[in-house]
Amino acid sequence: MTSTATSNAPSTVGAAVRESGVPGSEESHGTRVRRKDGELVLTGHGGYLDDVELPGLLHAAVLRSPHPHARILAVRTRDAAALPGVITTLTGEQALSLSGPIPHYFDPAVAGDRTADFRCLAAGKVLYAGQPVAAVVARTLNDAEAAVAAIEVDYEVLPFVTDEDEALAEGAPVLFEDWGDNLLIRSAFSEGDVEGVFASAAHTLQDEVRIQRYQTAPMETRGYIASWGPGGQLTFYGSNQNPHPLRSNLATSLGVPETKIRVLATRLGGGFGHKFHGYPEEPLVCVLSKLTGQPVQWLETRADAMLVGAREMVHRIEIAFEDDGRIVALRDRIRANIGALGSMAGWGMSFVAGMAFPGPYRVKNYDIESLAIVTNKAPWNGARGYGKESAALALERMVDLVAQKLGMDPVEVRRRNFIESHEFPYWTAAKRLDSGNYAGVMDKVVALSGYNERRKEQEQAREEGRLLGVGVAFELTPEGGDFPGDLVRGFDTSTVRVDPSGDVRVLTGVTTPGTGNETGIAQIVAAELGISVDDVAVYQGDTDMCPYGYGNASSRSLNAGGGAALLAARDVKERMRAATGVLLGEDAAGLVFDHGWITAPSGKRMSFSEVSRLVFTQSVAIPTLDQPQLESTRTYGPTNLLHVPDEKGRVSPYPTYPNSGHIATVEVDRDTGVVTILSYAGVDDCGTVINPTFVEGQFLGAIVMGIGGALWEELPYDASGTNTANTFKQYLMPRTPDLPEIRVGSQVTPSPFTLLGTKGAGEGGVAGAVACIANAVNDALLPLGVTAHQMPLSGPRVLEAINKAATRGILR
Amino acid sequence: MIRTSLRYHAPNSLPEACQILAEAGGGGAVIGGGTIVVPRMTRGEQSVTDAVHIRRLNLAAIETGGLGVRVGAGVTYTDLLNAPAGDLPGLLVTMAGGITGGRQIRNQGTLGGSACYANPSSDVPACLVALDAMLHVQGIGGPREIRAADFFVDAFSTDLRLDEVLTHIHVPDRRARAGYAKLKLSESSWPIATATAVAQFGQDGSRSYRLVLGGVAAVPVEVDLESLVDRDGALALDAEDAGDLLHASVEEALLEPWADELAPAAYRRQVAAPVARRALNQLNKEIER
Repeated sequence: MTSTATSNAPSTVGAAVRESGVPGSEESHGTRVRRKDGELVLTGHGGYLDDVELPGLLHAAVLRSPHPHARILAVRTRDAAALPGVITTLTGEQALSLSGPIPHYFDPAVAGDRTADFRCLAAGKVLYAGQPVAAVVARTLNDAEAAVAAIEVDYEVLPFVTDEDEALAEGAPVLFEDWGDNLLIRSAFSEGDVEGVFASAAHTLQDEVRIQRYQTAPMETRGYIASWGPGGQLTFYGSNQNPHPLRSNLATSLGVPETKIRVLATRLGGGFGHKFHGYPEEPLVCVLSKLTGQPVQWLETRADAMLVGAREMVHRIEIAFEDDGRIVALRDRIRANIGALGSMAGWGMSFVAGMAFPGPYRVKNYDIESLAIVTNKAPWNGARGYGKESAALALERMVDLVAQKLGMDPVEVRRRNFIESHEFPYWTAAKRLDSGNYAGVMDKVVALSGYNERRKEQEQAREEGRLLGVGVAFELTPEGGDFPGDLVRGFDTSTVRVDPSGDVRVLTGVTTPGTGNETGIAQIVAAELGISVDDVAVYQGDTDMCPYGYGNASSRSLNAGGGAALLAARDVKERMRAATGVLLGEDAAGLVFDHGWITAPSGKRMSFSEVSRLVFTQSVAIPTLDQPQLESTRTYGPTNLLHVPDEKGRVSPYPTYPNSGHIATVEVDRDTGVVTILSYAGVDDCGTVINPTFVEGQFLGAIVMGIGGALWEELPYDASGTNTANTFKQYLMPRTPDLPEIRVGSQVTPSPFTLLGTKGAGEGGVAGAVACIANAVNDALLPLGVTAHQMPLSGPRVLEAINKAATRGILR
Repeated sequence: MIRTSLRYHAPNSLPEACQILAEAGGGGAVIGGGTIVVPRMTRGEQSVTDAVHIRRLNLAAIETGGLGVRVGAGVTYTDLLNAPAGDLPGLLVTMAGGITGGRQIRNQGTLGGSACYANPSSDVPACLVALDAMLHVQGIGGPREIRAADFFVDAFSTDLRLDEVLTHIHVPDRRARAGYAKLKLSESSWPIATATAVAQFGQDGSRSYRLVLGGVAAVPVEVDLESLVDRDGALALDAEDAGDLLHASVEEALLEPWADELAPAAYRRQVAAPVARRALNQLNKEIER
């Protein structure tokens, strides 16, 4: 895979930062500064959770339930405890008094009326195969795992349910008895006269799109280390995306003052939502360390990681449209199979999957319902796309079906329905879209992909009897979500601190999953202070060092943490300016900060580092050099958040809306159903770009993740209620030979609601890629008169669709 | 992590290796490249008391003799790829180059190890059957020779006894022309279906063909090609009824298709014939060259 950047915007010096805070323009691309620590990561010296070495470190292993639903009658650990190297064992009953319920990442009770408590080890009942039941601590992981195998558990096996429709049916086994049924929450989003418009529209279509259970499979799995100090201080190392909220929640679970806990988020080998907090193993290692009096580590195996679900939904969707291709109404009934809930962040994806409608289109009548249904599968956590990929797939499939029905080009149908640039900010039931030029993005991707050529190739191929498809898709990605009531917020806090040497430290509450946002933040601060990026160090992930923040989620790092750092840098700059004015005897207002120098119009100048040194060494001593504090902490969040419903009952929990257009060609092997991607082009618009290299890297990665989800990745359950994909031989991730050259381009439409004009990059691209590949495959199947709407579109699934054509006599 | 204490052995002689395996009973495991046994132990899928590494047994040679070639059990896929041209049947080289897992696996994994693991979804078993290879094993009772077609007993099960070590694989005719087709769902997928078509030429100019399918059943499946051979002894693949004839032959041979997480039995049944046809077409092209 290679990337071909087509943006012709020139690189400018420094980040795309406006003194006035006015958002940048199309030309304001940032610079391709190399990633801080990039060499360390590439050469294997980055250091991850498993590289943390503590004296006396012990290892934990977890016994997991083999049953999807069962009552725990007895747990016997005596034999296990007697095995070599074993220090201690712990059962769910024993853990009850040591750790309370784990606070939810998103408590469903904040949005609805149901919730449930989850603990570090199951006591009473297990709700999914793989649920932690008991734990062992031993000197080595080998001994710990051997001892786990020796623990005996008596279960009373209960009826279970893994299908979301069956879970809602009368008489289904109920996971949480006090609920009475298995419906966690219903989210609904509607506007206009849906009934009426469906009745009067020229055309209507309905279809079903089924999305498989799959996840993000970060290269580094999770891991945690807990270590208690003699004064009752807990140090917690975690491969985790949100160290401060995790600290708060550990304090709650463990009943320990928050001031006694320090969480250190280690360097992440990928996050993607898999490392949002709320997992049972987080308090578990703390309890085990407390019991043993030594540091305890737990590492997630790949099989453990593959228990974590996401994305499994079915859309039953209807669309109404006119002869000219205008979509006039939408109805969707979404059912999300969220597994056994848990305290992690997964269920919220069902909310977002509904909220994301009607995407980039001007549809005034819609009625969307999304049900989060609990089943005896392992719980979800967040997964990049966070439900937006689900909505995009269903919606974009339907738009293609509209084009097909009318005999129109799918690009044209999209053009006719896009919200236009002059309509922003644009309201839907639960979004106020910030800004955009969707048609412009579509034009760019049409050009980049050579769309018309691709269509000609397709025509030729079809004459030869080949199944070649061209897929078109558009993605709108709500970002920067702010959810009052939980520790998931849109704002964040950064400190900018100047050392006597003139070096600058930024301490921020946002963390990085490995995307390079530390370098982006350094670029913003360096540009503001007129110094080199190399002279700015960024500190993240240490709760004792950094201001309280919400970590890594929803592509918010530069919007929030970067914006806060810019405000703090401006404060510091004003103090440096005043000091320099005194030291040079010049008017402070005219001073210019550039390339490490602070220069007056007269030409008199002093270096940034010299001014810093003098502020530390001469303040107060020199008359009027009286601002010795070269440090500021500021909090910032995008302003397009509306939590109090307006007169029409509308709210907007997401402030920014990056978007992207995708076009791909695929060929389907008629005999085997196997799909080969021939070409791929994507153009994204995430507002102002601070570092194009990172944005392109994230966009490429997102596209590949979308391709993997569209074609191969799946976590299937067997008849016994067990996940059968435990390794990368069953869970097929894309590899380089699976991918074509991916061409990416960009457009810049700044957000008027963020300090920098940024909209957020990182998550965007997954949704468009899933939808684009699904549309391409279905376009390839068009001559056969069949659709393939059960994801992923792997060989067997596509061949199943082809077989439908054969039985209808269309084929051969 | 490997949960059990185990003894690691690197014996200097075959008798010693066989003795260790005999004493270990079911707890012994022979390690060639370790690409199968070690991850299985790490995941707790296989419990081993005695791991017997063959690295000191001098089993890594490729030796030609007459028309045939003898491939040591410790020969890696990379060794196969690097062998001098003509030393090996082209099929083995093609197959080795397409092994899933990339360079690390090809450098470490061995042809013999894969044969002994007998994974239905591996490239190796069907190739060995198609080449009519002979597997030479050594046990406490002495050496044995087992035809590839008899070696693979069931999924993950071979004719090897607990005390036996595979020493080498003998391929009788290294000039055999072959066509090889493989269906995978993606690059990292195990093969879902493979087809190996081999032609052998007699001194009198006669030809004989074999078609062996892999991945589609617990063990390699040999398909009768008689109906496709014309009067001149050529494979008549362009005949109007060739597709149907091949389909019928495959149906007849493939009694119980394999199923796993990646593909159900019905899928394997349906793709077996098209994959076979690709191998046969390739074989015809090879013959024409």
